[in-house]
Amino acid sequence: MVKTKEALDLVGRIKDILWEKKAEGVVALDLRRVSESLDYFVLATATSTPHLQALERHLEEKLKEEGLRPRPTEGQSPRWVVLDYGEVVVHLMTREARDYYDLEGFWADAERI
Amino acid sequence: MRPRLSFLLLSLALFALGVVLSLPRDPGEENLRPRRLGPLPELGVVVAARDIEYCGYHTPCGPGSRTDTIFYLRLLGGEVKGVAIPRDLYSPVAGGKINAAYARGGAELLKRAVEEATGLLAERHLILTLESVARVIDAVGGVEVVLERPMRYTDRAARLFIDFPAGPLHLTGEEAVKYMRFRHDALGDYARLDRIKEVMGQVLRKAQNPATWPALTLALKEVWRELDTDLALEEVLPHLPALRGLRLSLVTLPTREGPGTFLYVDEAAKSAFLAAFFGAATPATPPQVEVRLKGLPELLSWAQAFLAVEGIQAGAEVAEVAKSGVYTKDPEAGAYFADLFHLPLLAPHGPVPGVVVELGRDLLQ
Repeated sequence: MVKTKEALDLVGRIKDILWEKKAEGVVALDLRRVSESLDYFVLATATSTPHLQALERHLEEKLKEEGLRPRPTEGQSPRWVVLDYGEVVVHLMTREARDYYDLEGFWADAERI
Repeated sequence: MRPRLSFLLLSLALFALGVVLSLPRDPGEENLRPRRLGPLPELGVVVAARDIEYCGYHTPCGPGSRTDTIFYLRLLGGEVKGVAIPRDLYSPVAGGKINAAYARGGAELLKRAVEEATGLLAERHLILTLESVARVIDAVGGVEVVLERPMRYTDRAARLFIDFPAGPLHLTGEEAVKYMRFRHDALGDYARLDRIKEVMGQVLRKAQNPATWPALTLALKEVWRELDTDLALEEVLPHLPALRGLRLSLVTLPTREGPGTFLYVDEAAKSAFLAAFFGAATPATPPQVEVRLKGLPELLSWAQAFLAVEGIQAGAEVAEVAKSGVYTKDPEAGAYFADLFHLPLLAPHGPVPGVVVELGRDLLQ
């Protein structure tokens, strides 16, 4: 588990990696004040399912080079991929899924970083 | 005089910039503005699971019309309170056992039967199949259980083969369904309902982890079409993040034995029990009850120190615990300790002295 300073650095790194691959609407939320058990979310939109998969691969590969691997998850959907890096959880979604689940709306009180 | 190439390129670049800036903004960007979802609706839902239909010996042919598992769930603010209804309960409105109500009159009769038994309003229904339950359990990564003794049962006609050794086990969805269907022990159907409560609590806990959400939504989309429900998936899924704060309390409807194989609602016990369960506010001060902690040694010492701050002395017992929770027959005391530890309240049918707080490995994950 990464420390808070490291978590913030990781959030910044993840945003950069996603921008590299042309992710849209990259937003990071600090959930520590609004949730008892969540720390940071990074949300990003993919323009299509292949783009979603490309973002997932690119992020996993780049962070693996830095010795970080996501915790295993059960199965992913073609519209929504979660990469769980402990304190930082990345949600990659198609535009449709992002609008539908509206995670930012649900955590509207969370600070954007 | 011929214009210089650099001027031409600059003009073209400025023109292109002007075109880009005059384009309407991507509607997707507008959607990034924070919006707030409405609160979770207050709702009474009858949730039941259909058994398997047999077209002949050894020939299962899809979901049956008998519902051996019936729960009344009340969604209230950030809480789900549920009442398990024994399958052998006599239902006057169904004219027999309540597990036959769905076969006799569909979801509407089942809802009326549950309302009659509990005295609570059942607005909606969600009738599951065993396959759909298994699929959802798989989507959250299965469940962990601890068996005190081996669980073995063979019903060749039903093609039900249960053979689990004693000790801690990880169960897939299909195995968890077998674990929940087993009722060949001393407490029979009551123990089966307690096992279902245990699995429900664990599935909710796992579903609170955002990492399970994509798989969970995919599973729900796959199974929803085979369910009999008046809840639209489109109205359920947007509330997925609300699972994070949801607290679960599950009890069993008080019943008494009667003629034949029927059970009857214990009307005197029911009124007091359900009024306390649904109506009780969480006590502000520690209830005067015996408190026992069970679980991992490192969690026990932490919990004893935590309770001491509240002025509560608790006994401790090291034990293997699969599913952390608060176990008691006292709804008010249960609400206090479930709130204190942020754990589900799972009131078993069998006797429990005071309050037992079980703290297992799932808390360390």
